[in-house]
Order: sequence, then structure tokens, then C-alpha cells
Amino acid sequence: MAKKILAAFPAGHPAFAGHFPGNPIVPGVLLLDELMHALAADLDRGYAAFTVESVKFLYSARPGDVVYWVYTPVRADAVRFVLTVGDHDAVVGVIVVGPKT
Amino acid sequence: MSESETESDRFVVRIEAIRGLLPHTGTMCLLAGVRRFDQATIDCLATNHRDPDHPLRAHDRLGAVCGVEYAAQATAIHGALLAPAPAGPPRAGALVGLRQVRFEADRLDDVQEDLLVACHCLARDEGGAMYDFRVLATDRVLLSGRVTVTFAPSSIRFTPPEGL
Repeated sequence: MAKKILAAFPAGHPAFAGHFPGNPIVPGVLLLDELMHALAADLDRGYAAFTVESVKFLYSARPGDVVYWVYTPVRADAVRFVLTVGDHDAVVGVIVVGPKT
Repeated sequence: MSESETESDRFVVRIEAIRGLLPHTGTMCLLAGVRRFDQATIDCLATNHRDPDHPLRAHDRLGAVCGVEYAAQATAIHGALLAPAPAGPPRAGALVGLRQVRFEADRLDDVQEDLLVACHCLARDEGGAMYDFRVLATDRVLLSGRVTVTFAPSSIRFTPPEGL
């Protein structure tokens, strides 16, 4: 039942120049945006159906990193997700999925 | 905004001053100015969410979750405004956690109004802070939730109080 999503952040991504100068880091919201975008399509829901119950950002993705998400249903109404960067669990959390609106 | 209110009345802190308070630069400085702040709260405005060159656009839109970055930057500005002067150069902050983020919109780039980013500080120490935030278009809440940020070397960890 687990689903996997890949995303890449090439060195030329427009967020890197200003986030941060000399220390480019993928903004955490961009990582979460990839997951939300895929979840909305997979589950055929608008964002109003989602409640991001909890997210922990543990490790940063950097230019050129390929990241992948795995999300797994944990309850009838929720998915648990892990974003991996290299060998690191970088972002983990739970999103509650409500009915279609 | 009332008709008598001029552009210069809109902000107590303008973008030029914000740029000195944040480690972010260029287009990643997302907020246009600070409407008001006190010890516990800060309200900021943003106008760049419709920008086709917005650095956080993906999949041909600005996803609503990107509103969290607007809130995180507002909390960093709040911390800098409340810090005893001179605060020194801004340090790189980081998003460490989110709780109970809810959405009333899928995207922000089709919002015609300015964005109001309203944050309320729940806890702060030398390692970081926790805020409740709302991103609004006029009176309509687009997204809301709780954000935890760190703004210190990793040797100092933010410890939220019991019960939060």
C-alpha cells in the first residue's frame, strides 16, 4: 500500500540564491509541497480535505539532491510519510485525510 | 485600507528594513512589510504571491503550503524586532516542526488580495520559538497552523513548554 514519490532540486532552482546566500538549502515547504501535490492527485482531494497533523524537519536537502517520499496509510483517515535524502530520514509526519468536498 | 491611508502608512517596518533582519535575500524575502507588532504578535503583508517568477512555484502554481514559509519569515522578523539592539547579522533559521496545519485553498497565486500573515507567539527561548499562524486574504483564512522554528546553532535546542 506504500506509495513512493521522487523529486529533484537542481542547483539552478530559483529558491537557492536567497535561501540562503552561500548556504543553499531546499526550503522545507517545497518538500512538503511535493507531497501535498501528489497526495491531492492520488486521493482526488482538495487541500481543504487535508490536516497536516504533525511534521518534523530533521535534515536538510541541498542542491542536486534527489529526494523521495514514501507514504503509508496508518489509519482509515491518515497517512504517515517519510522523506529520505541519501541515507537520512529528513522529514517525517502524519496527514489526516478527510472526505472529498 | 481606508481611502485616507497612504502607501507609507501601511507598514511600521518596510521591506528595506526587513532585508536587514532576515538571512534570506532577493526574491526569497517574501514579505512586503510589517503592519503591526507587539510582544506577542506580528502581522505582515505580502504582495508577491501572484508573481510568475516566484521562487517557490512548482507544478505551475504556488502551492498553499508555501504560506508556511511566509509565516516562518514573519516569526524571524518578530524575533529580530524584539531582540535587544544591536542584534548582529541575521542567523540562518530553520523550520523544525508543524502541527495542525489546515487549508481553505489549494494555491496562493490566484488570490487577488494581498496576503495578511498573522502570527501569535506561544513560546520563545534562546534556541527557537513556537507560533500559531494564519495566512488570510482580507477576512478569509487560507491556511493556519502551528510552526516551530529554530534560529540558533544546533548546540542549542528549542524546548517547548509542557502542554504545547
